[in-house]
Amino acid sequence: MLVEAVARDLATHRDELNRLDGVAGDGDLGLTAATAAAALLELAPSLDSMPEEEAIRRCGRELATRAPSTGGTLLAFALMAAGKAEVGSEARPTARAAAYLRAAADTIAARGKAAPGDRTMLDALLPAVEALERGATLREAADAAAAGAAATAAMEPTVGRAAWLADRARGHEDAGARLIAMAFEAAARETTLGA
Amino acid sequence: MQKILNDPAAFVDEMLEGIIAAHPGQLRMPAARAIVRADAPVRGKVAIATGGGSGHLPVFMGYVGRGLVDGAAIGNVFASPSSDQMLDVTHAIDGGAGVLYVYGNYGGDRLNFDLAAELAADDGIEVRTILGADDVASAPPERADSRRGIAGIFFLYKVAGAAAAAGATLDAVVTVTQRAAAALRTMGVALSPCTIPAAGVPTFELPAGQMEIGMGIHGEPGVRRGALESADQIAGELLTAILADLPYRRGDSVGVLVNGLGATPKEELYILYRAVARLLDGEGIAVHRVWIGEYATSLEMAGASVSLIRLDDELRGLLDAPAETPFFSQS
Repeated sequence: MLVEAVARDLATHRDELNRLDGVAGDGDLGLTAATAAAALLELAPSLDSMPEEEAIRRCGRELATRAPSTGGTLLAFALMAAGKAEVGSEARPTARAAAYLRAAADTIAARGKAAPGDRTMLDALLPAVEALERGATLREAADAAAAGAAATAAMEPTVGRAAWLADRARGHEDAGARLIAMAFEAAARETTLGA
Repeated sequence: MQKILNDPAAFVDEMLEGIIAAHPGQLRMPAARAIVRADAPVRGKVAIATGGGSGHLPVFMGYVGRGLVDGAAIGNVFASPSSDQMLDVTHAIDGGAGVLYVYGNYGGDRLNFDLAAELAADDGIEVRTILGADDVASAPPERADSRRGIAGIFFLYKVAGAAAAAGATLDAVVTVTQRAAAALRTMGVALSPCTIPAAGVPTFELPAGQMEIGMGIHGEPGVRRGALESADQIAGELLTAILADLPYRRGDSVGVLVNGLGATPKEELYILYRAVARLLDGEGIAVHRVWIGEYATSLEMAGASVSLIRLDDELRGLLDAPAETPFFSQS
């Protein structure tokens, strides 16, 4: 299933994420991601019996308690908000995903006080959400996320710890944006959603 | 700075173990770094929760007890605790009448407390939040909601805790505590930095003979750095900024807190209060009650802060109500 596939994939990128985060952050995003992935893998079997919205909220709750860091907390907020998004019952899977992820992006922007171009995970998430809202497939959304993450290498950090170390960050992708792009890539590979 | 330590990395947990060992009848730790009053939850009473980084004793768990707060989540030095710890505290103190979070206005704390509030709501516990944002030096009046919370939070604990102990509903506790927060102002001065045990070096440089007016309790920049002045001059600068900010007026009745940041002796705090009392008298502002001592520290930082809260009959009654914790008692 999707959650397991994404979690299993993220765990393999621990060192890469730590290294990217260490460029201008505290170098623990890979650890957070690996911790979150392990928690989600444990949780995954119990999600099958839940309605989709409840399963998403449950994932958020798991991140809140098992992956406490600014990045993990923001993702927990995002998933909990996603699980409360208004989604029409007849919507196509990609349209539902767009609604969930739009709510997630809005929450990350509000809680993290970040806007597009601030060199955060939003810069990967928003291009993917916008693609899905235009009717793109998950594959195309994953490509949009990857392009968005790549573009952060040229952006100036303005929020969070990285803002203090702007010079060091330049030329490297933002670790949070890379994490989002990895998650989309894993999801796209796993599913034929929208294909 | 020489410190009495075993392992810098164990600073927080060994400190907590010491506090629990010293006050077993008053405090307990139901989950990691979650301190609650020994008799929590108190059935039918609104519960007050707080929390934040270590390094500020008696903030935060020093105020856990009768007539003050019910529980506190404790983070690393100057770092927010996790939402999970706050949720543990919330569950341990919820007596069925709702929970009020009272904590300082810092980004990490807000993120984690807000998440805990959302998780608690999922579990059927009603949570409300009031932020301490009393530091007038940290932002101008038009951005008052972005101000940092410092020593004045003691007054919010006192008001909320006394109202809850008297049986007020969650709505009523929120209303009166919000009124207290709106009538509360603080400003401080730093004379020397502090050293976070795990970091081992001072948090900032302050040359001998210098002071920084308005510096935050984690070493955040203040409004002015200059040569150290006399106690009377410092009191004048702090009070001028505080009095103009609310503003406090002739005929007002106030509570006053003169707080030491960790390395400044009580003698100096009383010299500071001497000047504060004279200035308030000159302004025609009546002092209802005074608290002087260490109420919110910054490890061994030298310096002090002055807080004023404008009072009405209800707030006077709540400030005068009895309270008892390992670090604070009043009858």
